[in-house]
Amino acid sequence: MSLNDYINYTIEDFILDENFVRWVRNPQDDSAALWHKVLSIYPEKSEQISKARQVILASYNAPESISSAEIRKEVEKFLDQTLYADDEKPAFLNISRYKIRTSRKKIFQRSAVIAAMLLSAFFIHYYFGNQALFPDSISVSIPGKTNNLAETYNNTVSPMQLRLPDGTDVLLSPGSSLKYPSRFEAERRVFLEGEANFSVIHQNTPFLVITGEMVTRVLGTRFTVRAYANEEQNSVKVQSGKVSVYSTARLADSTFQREVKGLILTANQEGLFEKKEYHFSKTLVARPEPVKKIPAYQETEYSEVPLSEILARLEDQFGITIQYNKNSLKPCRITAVFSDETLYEQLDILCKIASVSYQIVDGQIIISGEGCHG
Amino acid sequence: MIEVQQLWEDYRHGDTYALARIMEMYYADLFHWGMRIHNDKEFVKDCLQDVFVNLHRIQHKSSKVENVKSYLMVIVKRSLIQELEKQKVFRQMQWPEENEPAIEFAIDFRLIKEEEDYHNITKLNYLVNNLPIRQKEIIYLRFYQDLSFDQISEVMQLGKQSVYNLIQKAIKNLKSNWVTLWLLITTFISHS
Repeated sequence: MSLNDYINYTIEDFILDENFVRWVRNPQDDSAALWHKVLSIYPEKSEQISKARQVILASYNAPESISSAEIRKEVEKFLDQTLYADDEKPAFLNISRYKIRTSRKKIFQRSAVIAAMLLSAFFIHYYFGNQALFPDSISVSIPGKTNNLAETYNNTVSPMQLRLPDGTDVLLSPGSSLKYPSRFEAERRVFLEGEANFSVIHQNTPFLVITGEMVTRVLGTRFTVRAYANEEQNSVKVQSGKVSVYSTARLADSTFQREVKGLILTANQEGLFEKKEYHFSKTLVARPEPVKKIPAYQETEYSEVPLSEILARLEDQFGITIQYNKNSLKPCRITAVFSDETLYEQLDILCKIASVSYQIVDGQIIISGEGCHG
Repeated sequence: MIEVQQLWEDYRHGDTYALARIMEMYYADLFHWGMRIHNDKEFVKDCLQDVFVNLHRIQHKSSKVENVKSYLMVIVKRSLIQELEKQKVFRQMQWPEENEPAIEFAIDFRLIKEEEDYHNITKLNYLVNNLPIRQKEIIYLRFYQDLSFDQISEVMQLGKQSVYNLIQKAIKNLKSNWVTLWLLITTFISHS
């Protein structure tokens, strides 16, 4: 559209022009320059523009009060309802096809946060009275799937490297044991007591780590499951990929009632399961690692950089969410040099400079405080 | 836009996660839309849940869609109304303006500049709120939902020309009430 088209613009045209509405709603919009230009070339349009503007200002709708947390909950609920119905169907094949495609398309991958996010795992809980469900009882409830199990027990003092028949690498912690079949069938199931780190080879069939009271289900990702029988807490730490945590037990019994709400875990998040209270919670791992490859040692120098910009960078680098009040942090400009500081060390420094504080809530970082003035 | 299109195609080819992503993207807007049709938060949330679960169910039968957002708005409205009809049978509920969204416009005070005339905008707000419901709907779809012409005509089930006529009518309605007002006003732009 050329500039002289606007000479014939009526109030209606302005009102129906997407760019125009956007500009009125947000004077900093990209199209601002265009409208200033139109005004300077056609001053006679100013009345129509003014009227159109006022109509827009007089026709405002406040957003409905629904938080992003609520929305996330609804999306999780949706996945909860649909994915389990899919479990044994070929839908998973399609999902994995999708993942392969997204890895080729970087931009799309970024935009499809949830899609990639949920590609990973489900915890499934078993609760038959007070009795935990161990491998033997699994084989009772799912006959014919646990034949020919090989068991590896790590009685050394250092982690033991294993390679499973599908190529998945396992680092088995001392004092832990892993049972797995010599050949995987439709589903890849392994039985873990203790702790192990998995780098699951991506395949069309899900990979299940079955521990005392939970099942971690993934298609391909890196994570650590810790489930010692004598510990009150089970945990799953995610290194890459994203994991969704569910508590249904349809694996064993399709009529089983859901008892615990699910979680979604992304990289650097940790899901904790309190066995006694039968309760899930989410936090960040003790030492978050960058999810993006960066040179081993690289100095980052900030000079009068807005804090929000640095936070956005950290979010991107560590694949985590940082929440803060945009307005109160607006005046904060940071001058600092970082090299090999951990995420928490960087946050400590940044928060000190900006005189705010942060806490970890629900696997996210929340920054609060007045913020710097002026 | 292109991204949504791609997600929709992925959904059609069996990817539930793509559908979940679409749900997440549009949830706030669809919720707002749903609340205009029936002001009951839990009811609307349940309905949205049903809509997406059903989309999942018909995944392999679903068709290509040009405008995902307006398509979703149409089915959300339809499904809300169906659900309301059901309840009406059982509970004999009644509400005015059968099936039409209830839209109330407020004034966007955040954006009003000092030199602009509050009275004028207040008056305009009153006028906009008193337009016939269909005209209000069009303004809502354009301003709040940020729908294009094509999408508006899809949601309102009107031809493109009718949409344009309707908006003309709305402006004309406003204008006739404006005339006296405008004599008093100098525009904010000539000041700046």
